Amino acid sequence: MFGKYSKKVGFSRGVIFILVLVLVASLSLAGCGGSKGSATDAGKSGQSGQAGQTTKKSGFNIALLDGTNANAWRIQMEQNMQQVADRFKSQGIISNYSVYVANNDATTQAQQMDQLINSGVDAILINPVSATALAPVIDKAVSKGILVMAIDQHINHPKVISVTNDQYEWARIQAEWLAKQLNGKGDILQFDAMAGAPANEVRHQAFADVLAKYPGIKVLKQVNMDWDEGKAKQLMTSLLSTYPKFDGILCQDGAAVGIINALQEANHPLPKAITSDEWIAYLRLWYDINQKNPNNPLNAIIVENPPGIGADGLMIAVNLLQGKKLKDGVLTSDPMDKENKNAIMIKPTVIITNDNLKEWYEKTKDKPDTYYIDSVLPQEEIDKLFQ
Amino acid sequence: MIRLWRRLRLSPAAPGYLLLLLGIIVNILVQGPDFFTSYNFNSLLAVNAPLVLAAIAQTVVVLTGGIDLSIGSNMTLVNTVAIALTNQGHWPVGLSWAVALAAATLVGTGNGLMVAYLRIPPLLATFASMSVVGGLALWIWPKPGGMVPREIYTTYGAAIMGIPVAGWIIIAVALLWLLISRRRVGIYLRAVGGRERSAYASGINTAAVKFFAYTFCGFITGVAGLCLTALTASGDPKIGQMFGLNSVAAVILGGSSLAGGWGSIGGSIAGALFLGLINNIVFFLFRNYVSHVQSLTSVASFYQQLLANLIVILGLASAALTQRGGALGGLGRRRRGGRTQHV
Repeated sequence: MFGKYSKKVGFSRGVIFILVLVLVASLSLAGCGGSKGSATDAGKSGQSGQAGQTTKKSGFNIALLDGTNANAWRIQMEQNMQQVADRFKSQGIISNYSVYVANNDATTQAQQMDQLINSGVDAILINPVSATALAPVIDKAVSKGILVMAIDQHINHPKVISVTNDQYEWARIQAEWLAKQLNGKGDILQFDAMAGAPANEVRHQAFADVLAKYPGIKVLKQVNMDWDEGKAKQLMTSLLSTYPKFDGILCQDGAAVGIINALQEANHPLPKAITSDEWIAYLRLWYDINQKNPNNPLNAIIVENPPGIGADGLMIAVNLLQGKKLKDGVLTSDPMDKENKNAIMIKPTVIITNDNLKEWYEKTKDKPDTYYIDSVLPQEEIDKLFQ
Repeated sequence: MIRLWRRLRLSPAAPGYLLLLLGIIVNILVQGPDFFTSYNFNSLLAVNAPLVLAAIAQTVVVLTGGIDLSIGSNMTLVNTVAIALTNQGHWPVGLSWAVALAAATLVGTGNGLMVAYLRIPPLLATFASMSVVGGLALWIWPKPGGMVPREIYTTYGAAIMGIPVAGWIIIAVALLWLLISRRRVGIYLRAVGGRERSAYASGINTAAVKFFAYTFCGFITGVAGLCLTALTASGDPKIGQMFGLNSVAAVILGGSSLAGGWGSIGGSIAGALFLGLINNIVFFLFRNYVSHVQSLTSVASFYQQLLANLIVILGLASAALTQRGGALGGLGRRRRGGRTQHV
């Protein structure tokens, strides 16, 4: 099949070489350490069991595994958490708080978690790369009595409590608002984010559920902008040639600035209504448009998707470590994971429309352009979730 | 010993082995004696086996002077097919995993057809199949979820005779490649990568050789995808995203030349393990040193990715600078010692 000639090359020598290398390497490594202590005696710092058996009230060792911090939202989340951790540290409740970033690679995150289990921690908070990929490592952690919690994105695992913003509610509020603005009929364009990403799927479902109630509203086209303003701008520009007439735009966050810029560059009239982006740059763009056209303001809505959720999760984790019990009914099921009742969903409180735009503009004047509309629950609110 | 060193120095894998050695030394320094626990060793191999296998698959194609960008989405496809068949179709696990492996091999066959017989440049062909296969995976299993029987993932994380199961899988695949590389087709692979025109002129069916390389790459990618499924014990339509380019990085770190004809599996394995070790090094550097410095805590996480990627770049640069093959200038020197290296 491959040609005319055939040739035998010394096969055995290569095989033996590889085998010897591998054997020597692994046996020496495994051999050296086998006696020194293995996974069974890993927990060097006190192993507080799952909430309930613990007598510790302070001195916790907590780690955060962040899937990535390559965007402003995550950076803000980490900063919020650091502030709360510093507060706990000064009270002596937390003795060690550390953060590890996984470069958006699920296997890296699994490796980091493995190493954390091995070096002993009381709690691991995870903003997961994948909702499911950590299952085996989580089993290991739970069996060692480590408290594992997910923040911002749900993890499908019966033993993991996920503290997330209520994405369904977030999307529902906006879709309802849009339908009301259009009086229940009109043509809209829908910008979803990233197919396969959990938050996107939940929001997409919420959009669909609301629109099903308004048969008069027709989705001309649904596109994915991957949470990328630049891509959203490109998409809007190309959509304009196909769909020059539309009434509203329903989009998830991370797209509105790009969409508005594309419309402005094409000198196209702005939509009758457009939904959310909690990015401060968008709030300022919106405010400027209204300043320039006081008679024809942009009709938009912002619903917060606060990075503060991480800090909320950290406070909840500390309460759980101290052995406090959640009230009945606090735990619900995540729409992504209906079998388990292990989600704490924080409903969005900040909603900005033209009515309170000026107030929020003034409030956030000193923030950088990369800031997101944010709120961290005060400790009292967190304590209300507990018995 | 000296003879071994000489042999090693002449082999394409030398930079890969040296980098790995360096990585291990630095890792021991920052991690301390814990590095030598079997737990640590198991975890490292289990977590990095998918990347190691992806690197092996990539090497087979790179040897012919091609490249396969679709490895990442192909692994995702394996993961979603295996999970969807067991969880939705209620097929027996063994059968559905076999189907997943066949699907990956098919993707490889498709790449081979495009590159070898339709003569589409490998970069374009595999980039196209990357999107198609990624979309297919998303269609098969749109949301993260699903389960793998407990026995499978506990076995995967365990050790047999002191070597982790993941290690045995790597050894098996490496041996399979060794078998093939000593046969005609293995030698022709390098010939096609070295200079396709000359290979063709000396009667080698270059199209068939390339077709075989991509198909075989698809098969090993399938094994890598199954390892990833055993590791994560679930299905996720975005799980393989990082593997495509990371496998290319591992191949370069292992001293292979992207121009083809010059490279080795051993080097790529070392390169992939080096990539895995980097994450470990950064983790312990921050856990044992940086997190204790009060003033650094608020900025610490920024520098993790920066540091990790800087080490990768340094490694790639050193591998590229020490590379002797690939370029035409290296052709004469490559025959020093009178034989080609296969280990």
